[in-house]
This record gives sequence, structure tokens and C-alpha cells, in this order.
Amino acid sequence: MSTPARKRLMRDFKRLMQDPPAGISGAPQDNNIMLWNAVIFGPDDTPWDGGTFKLTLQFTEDYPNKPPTVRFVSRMFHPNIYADGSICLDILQNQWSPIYDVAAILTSIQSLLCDPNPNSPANSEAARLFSENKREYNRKVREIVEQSWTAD
Amino acid sequence: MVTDAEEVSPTASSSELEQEDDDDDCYLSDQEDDALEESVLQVLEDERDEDCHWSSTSVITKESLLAAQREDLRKVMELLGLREHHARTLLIHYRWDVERIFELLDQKGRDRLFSEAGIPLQPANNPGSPSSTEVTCNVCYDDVPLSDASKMDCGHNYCNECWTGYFIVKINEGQSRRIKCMALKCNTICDEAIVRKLVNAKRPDIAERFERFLLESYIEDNDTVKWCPSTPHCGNAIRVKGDIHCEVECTCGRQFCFNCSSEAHSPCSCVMWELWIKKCRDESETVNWITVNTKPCPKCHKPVEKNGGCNLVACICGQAFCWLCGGATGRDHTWSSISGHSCGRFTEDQSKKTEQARRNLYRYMHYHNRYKAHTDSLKQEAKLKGDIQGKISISENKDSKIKDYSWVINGLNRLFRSRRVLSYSYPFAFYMFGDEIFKDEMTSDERELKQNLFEDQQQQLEFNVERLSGFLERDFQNFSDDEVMDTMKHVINLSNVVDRLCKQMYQCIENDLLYPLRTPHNIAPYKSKGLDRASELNVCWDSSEQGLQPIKYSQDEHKSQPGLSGSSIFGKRQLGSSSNNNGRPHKRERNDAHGGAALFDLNVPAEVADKI
Repeated sequence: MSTPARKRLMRDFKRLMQDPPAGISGAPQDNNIMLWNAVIFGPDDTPWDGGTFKLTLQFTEDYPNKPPTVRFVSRMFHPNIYADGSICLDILQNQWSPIYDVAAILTSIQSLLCDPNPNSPANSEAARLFSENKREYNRKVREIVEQSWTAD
Repeated sequence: MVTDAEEVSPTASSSELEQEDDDDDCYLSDQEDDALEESVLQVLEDERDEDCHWSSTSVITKESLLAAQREDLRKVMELLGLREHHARTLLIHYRWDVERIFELLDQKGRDRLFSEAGIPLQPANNPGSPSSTEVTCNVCYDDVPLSDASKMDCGHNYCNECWTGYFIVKINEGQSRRIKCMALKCNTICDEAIVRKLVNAKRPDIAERFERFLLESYIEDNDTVKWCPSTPHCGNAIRVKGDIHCEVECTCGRQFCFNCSSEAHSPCSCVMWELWIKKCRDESETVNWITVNTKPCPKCHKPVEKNGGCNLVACICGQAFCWLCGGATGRDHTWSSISGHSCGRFTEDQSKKTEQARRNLYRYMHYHNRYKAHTDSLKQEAKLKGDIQGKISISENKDSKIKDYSWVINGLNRLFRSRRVLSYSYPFAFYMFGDEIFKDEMTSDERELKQNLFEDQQQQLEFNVERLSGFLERDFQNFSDDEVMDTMKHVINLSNVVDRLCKQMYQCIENDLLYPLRTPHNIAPYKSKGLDRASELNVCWDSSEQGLQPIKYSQDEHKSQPGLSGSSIFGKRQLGSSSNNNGRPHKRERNDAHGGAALFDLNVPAEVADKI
């Protein structure tokens, strides 16, 4: 069955394959265009450098008029990422637009890694360290970077 | 107080009513400008002792809802040269406050006024149309013919299928009143005509909902219009022009505080009443009950449910706010870091807290018991009305020279109103003189002095209310004429005493207790004649005169502004434009003033008093 959501997702996938943005990759899971796996690589020259963080994106038939549910599978330490991997990001909620595609979503999340919003804390310890003890914050980030190499 | 009284029936045969009609005819033939100003000032003068807060109320039914807002739409469209959907967007953004739009037009200028509301400043360029017959939709990436695409006022162009899907989702999310363009960061509100056309072609049921949402935005997005909170819903809304801190009565009979839509609760303020209701609902006063599932939006006060993992939530009114940090992580950290500290503190202060809790509980019980006693009496006295009606019937059939029993009805109405005032004065006192709200605004000596002042008046009122209640419960149908006359005198005297004491209590509350406070607390004013009963909104006026009369009356009201301002020490809100542009307001005002007097003229037959 070909619905607007599925047609759009096929096109998102095609564009991602043809013109992949740096530092991200993603693809639908086997036989299910509505559920994607993705990887975000930690940006160079940052404490996140070297990390390979895995995510899932669950789409509905309302896509692209509604955003997918995005969640990290890898363990994260970030002010705007919950313990269960949920992400506090405006374009995934009230600032969503149908213009955003999968590449744009993943690129925005990658940007969020180095540019957190401590005023909207999903992880209160990370938010506190980010504001008060940057060195300890960076140490914890590097800790999860190393964990991301092996975790599955 | 200016109340839109119901029009007197033209079939009334009373010579007095006919005389009133004649007076109205003569009145209308005088110079209207001067007459209007004199009339408004006269009414204000008459009501000065009772009421410095001006307001008028009208009821909006399903039938009159469209007419009510069409006036505002037309005004904005004509004076700003806007199309209807832009005028609606502007009115929704500024909460249907026409006067404020024109004020801001002067302050901010046209461009800023429009851009902040999501209205494009100038017609979009049209560069592509001559050279191409197709357009690429950036949502589905299809190439479609121009005829299958739609362009919004901002110039963004997408295929109709994607627009339609987007509109349907937005309407289902409750966003009919402010559907923004799909483009990134584009604030422009979509043309409602395009929305209507595209959605109707695919989902007529959702298009119908879109229309209803737009129509009801006049109530949902308007600070001067509220739905009647009756259950089941009567379908009416109430519009208030003037001071929104007032209590109103819908045509369905429901009485409520217009500011917060709760049951009428004056002289308790809305903040106090909300706290009181919550406190009474929590049966265990030693435990603080916290609303976990919903939180009120700071802007529109609607409850918002958190349905996702994020602490930043957005209300459908567009206001975003931060939820308290929640979720597994937050809870873990909060628990591990605060619990140990809190446990120690609790141990140290346990004894002191227990004693404080006991004292607070006793204080609450003191006020609640009296509040409940008076609300219970009010319920008993509501039943009394039926009994009294029976007694009056018996008395009127007796072989007696006394035929007028309107004093009983008037006394009973006075009892109801004063009992209500007395009942709500206890939650008022609970918070006014407690530690919860005003602890830092009065010294303990000041508080004691003011509490004594207030409670002295409260006790006087209570004493006389009970006396009035006692006399009204007498079985006067079995009395001799002399005994009836004696009871009548007491009822009339006590009604006047009680009315005066209510006024004094309100003056004490407004001037001595609330006025000096740093944080403003507004209460609906006391009205001897009871709550404003909202009048039906008049939707029938000659369309050919619409263009002229609104401006004329607006000027008249502007002229009378200085007189109005001087009558209130708290300052007055600007008079709103009248939706009724013929001469009727003057006629009804006169009738109302006359009718008001009749309530205190015990020589008027009961039938006439009841009719008025």
C-alpha cells in the first residue's frame, strides 16, 4: 500500500543515499519503511568526537504533517536527552514543519549535541554540570563516547 | 451600573408602562448627543453609591454568534483595508480587542502590527508563473501542474494534496484559528478561503469543524466573552463590556464569576476562591495535594496534559511553557540528592511541624464550619421560597385588608444575596488574614487591627441576616393584620439594614483591606439588586445604516469619557463599542433605572415588580 507518508519516506531515503550529510546515516529497518535505524557521529574537535550514537525513528501515517518519535538507543549524557533516550528538541514538537526530512532531523540532533539548551533540562545532572562544572561534564561525555563503541 | 434590561413587552396594558413608552418617544426626539451623555452620567450618578465598577452584559447564542463578530471584522476590514481572513487573524491575535488594535496601530505602525500577527506586509512576488506550467512541491517532491498547487500570501507554494493533509492534521489538533504556512520559520497564517476549499473537497466533516472553530474563536480568543459554564452546556456565551471582574447570570439561569468562570464567589477574590475550592476538595488537610496530570497554561489557563517525554509543552493557544523536570532521570536525581537532605530536615523539625499543622487545621476548621453553615442555610432558604409562595397565596385569599405581599419576596431576595455574601466572606477572611497569601504585606499589629475591623462588620451582618431569616420563616398566613404589619415592618427594616451592612463590608474590603496591597486582588462589586442578568444580543439592525452609526456612537462615548473616568478611584477600562446601534440602549436603560427603583417601592403591586 502506497500512502503519502510511505512515498515521502521512500524519497527521504533516496535523498539520504544520494546526498548524505556529513556525520549521519540512516535507513529503514528490514521490511518496515515506518521504522528507521540511524547513527549520529560525534562532531570533530568536540568532546563528542569519535562517538557513534544509535537512534530509532518511528514514523506514523501522519508524516510529514507530524514528526516521528525519535529516541537514542545508545546511552547518552546530555542536558536535553532523557534517560530513556527521548529528545527535547523544538523541531520534533511544536516547531515541526513538513519541510523537515529525515536528513534535517538527524542534522538538527547532531547540532544539539554541542549546543544544548540548559533551560529545558531533561537530564538534570547533565544540565547542572554543563552550567557549573564543564570539565566534569566533558569527562562524562567522553565516557559515553567510549561506551558507544561497544554497546548494542 | 448600566444593564441592558429586557425590553418591555409592547402588549403591556398598564397605563404606567404606556406612559414610559411616551417618555421614551419624547426622549429620543431630543438632541441625541447631549441626551446620551446626560443619560450615561445620570445612570452613573444613580449607581455611584453602589457600584464604581462599570460593566454591561449580553448573552450570545448560537444564532447571534456570527453577527456578534461580523461587526468587529467589518470594522477592522474597512479601517485597515484588509481582507476578511487577515482581519480575523489580526483580531484573533489581539484577542478581539478592536480598541487595542487601533492603539497599537499608532504605537507600532502598520508593518509591525501586521507582522507580529502573521499577516504578510505586501503581495508576494510572482516570478515563476510566466515561464513554467509546473511547480515542484518541497513536501512530497512531486512536480505538479500550477492548477494543482496553492500559494499563500507569503508566496510559499505547495501542492494541494500536501496542503490538504497538513490542514486536516492542524484542524484535528485544534489549530483552526492559527494554521501557519508549512514553510520553515514562516509565520504567515494560511488563507482561510483556501483551507476551506481544499479541506471541503476531501473531508467535508472536517471543513465543517474548521468553520465552527473559526466562528467560536470569538469566544475562545476573546477576553470579554466567555462560555456559560452550565452543565449540561446551554450553548450560550456571555459578553461583558467594561469591568470583567463582575458576576453575571446567563439566560439559562446559571450565575457565575465572569473573570474565572467559577460559581459566583464575591467578596472572595478569584485567587482566594480557587485556593479555597482546592483546599475543601482535599479532605486531608495535613497533606499537600499536587496536580500531577495537568497544569494550567500561564496564558489561557486551560489545563494542559503532558503527552510526551519533553518538559517544554505548548498549549493550543500558542503559549509554550516549561513543565517541572520529570521522567526517570529527573526523578532519580531528585530522589538521590534531595531525599537524604529532606529526611534530615524533617527529623529535626518534625515536632514543630506537627504543632504547626495542628494549628493550621484548627484555623481551617474554624472558617470552613462557618462557611458551610451559611451555605447550608442558603440551601434551606432556597426551599423556603416555595413555602413562602404558598403562604402568600393563602394570605391573599384571606378576608383581610392587606393585599400586598411583595415585601416578602423582596425580603427573601435580600436574604439570598446577603447570605451568599456572608458565606463567601469566610474564605475571604481565611486567606486575607492567614499566612498563605498576604503574610509579608501586613505587620501582625496591622493584621490584628484589620481583622477586628472586618470581623466586627461580619458579625453585625451575620446577626441581622439571622434576624431577617427568622422573620421570613414566620407563618404569617395565620397572623392577624396587626401581626402581619409588624412582621412587614421588621422585614423591610432588616432588609435595608442588611443591604447597608453588605455595602459597608464591601467598602471595607475594597478600600481598607485590598487597596493597600502590593499584589492586586479584584472582587466583583456588590449590587443591591443582585447579579446582572445578561440580555439577548440584538442581531437585527438596518444594514444600510451600519457604516454611519458605529462611528457616531463611538464619538459620543468618547465625549463622555472624562465624566466616566472621574467617577472611579481605581480607574476605569475604556468603554467598549456598543453592538446595538439603534436607540434601544437608552430606552432600556431608562426602564432599568425605573425598574430598579420599583424594587424598593413597596407600594408597587407584586405583579409589576416581578415583571420588571
